[in-house]
Amino acid sequence: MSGTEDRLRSALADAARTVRPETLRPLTVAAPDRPRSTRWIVPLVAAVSAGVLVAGVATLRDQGAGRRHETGPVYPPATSVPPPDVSAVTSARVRAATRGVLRITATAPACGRKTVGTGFVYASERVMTNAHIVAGSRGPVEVSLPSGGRRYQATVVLYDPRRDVAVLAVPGLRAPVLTLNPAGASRAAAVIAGYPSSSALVANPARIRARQIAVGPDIYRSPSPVRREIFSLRANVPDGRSGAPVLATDGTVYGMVFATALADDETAYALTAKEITPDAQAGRTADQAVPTQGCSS
Amino acid sequence: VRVIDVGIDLSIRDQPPDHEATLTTLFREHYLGLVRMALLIVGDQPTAEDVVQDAFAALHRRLDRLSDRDNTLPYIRAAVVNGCRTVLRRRKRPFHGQEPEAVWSAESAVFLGEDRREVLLALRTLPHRQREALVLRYYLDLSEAEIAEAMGVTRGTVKSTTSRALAALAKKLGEESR
Repeated sequence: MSGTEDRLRSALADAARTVRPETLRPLTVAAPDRPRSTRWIVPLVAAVSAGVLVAGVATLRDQGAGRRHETGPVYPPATSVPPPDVSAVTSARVRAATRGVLRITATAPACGRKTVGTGFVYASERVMTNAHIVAGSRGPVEVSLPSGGRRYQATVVLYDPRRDVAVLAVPGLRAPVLTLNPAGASRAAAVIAGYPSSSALVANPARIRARQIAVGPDIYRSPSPVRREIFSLRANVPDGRSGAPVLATDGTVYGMVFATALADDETAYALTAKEITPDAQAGRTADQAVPTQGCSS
Repeated sequence: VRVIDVGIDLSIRDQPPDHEATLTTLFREHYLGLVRMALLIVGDQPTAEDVVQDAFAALHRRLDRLSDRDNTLPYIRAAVVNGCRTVLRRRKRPFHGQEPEAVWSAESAVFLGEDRREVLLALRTLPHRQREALVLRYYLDLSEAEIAEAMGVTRGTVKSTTSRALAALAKKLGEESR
């Protein structure tokens, strides 16, 4: 019998070693591949999406079951870019732009949760944020200006769970309007301005690693995958910045953060300006409250 | 270090930060091992990673309710074993589609050698519980108590399952006649 045990031990050890650390998906906390109850589900979507993003090599096989199985490499070589430029944060235009970065608080009573995230003013009385922040919310969403500034009641007028974008109408909002900038490219210096768990606005230096196409599930993990254009960013924002704008040094917006890497403190993911433009345009004129469906899983 | 991105959930925010640090540590130290363990049960890496990531997601949601936060490793091990069961059950359903290429496929023989493959193929034909018991015992080198906890069964069941599994494996490998 011991012969069997030895053979088994060696076979298991060798087979196990076929999983090499560098081939692991860089993110954890991926999504379930089956519907889950929506109670108490922490908004994992971001991490989830990013887990699937993996630089767009993730191709869905077996889509009917909504499960993902990457073909090809699952861990593309990280694009090597210099570390973020700290001086970007101190640029006067960036600082001015951060006055248009708002804190979003949504209440989803059915899921027993209150969610805090970030949004930015991109048009008169219109704020963009992530759909997963307002998912399942009821009643007005609270929007507040930086540094304990004025609070406003906002209404979700556009809800795009596929892209993970929501637009809020904020009547009477007085804050600088940020401009979308589609020119973000690899190595560009940037700043992620948003609200981590502390209440104060934080600006972190960032650098664009690459513009990529990511294929993966939407915030509800619908069976049909969504294809999005994203930036992977070199930035240290492990405590999350969903909905935060990725600001260029001139204060324009390269994109909107929707995920950070888990296994890697140096990576965040953002939807590109190009990706969010259709929703931005539709949201400008939208003025009716729309349902925010269920909480995201 | 925080573990999760997002519109931060206030219920998480109110926790002392070390819980998430616990999770991060767990991840750093055991993620690879858990994926390898899941691979040995389900056969392919993408599925194994899915299972382990799901387990971490579930653990993260439950962090604030875990009574013993120092004891997260047995908890997540059990979650992974359970996730593997779900996957294997689902594969038995009709119209499931093709299984991803497994570590015991002919292709992998190139890397692993025929002897290893023969053992893995034999392992694959065992009932799921037996396969689990052998992986936990002979790959992770867990104690009977730990295996019992991971499989959600008694130590007695672990003992009998393991010995039956080993006997079945020996038989399939033809060692009785050697």
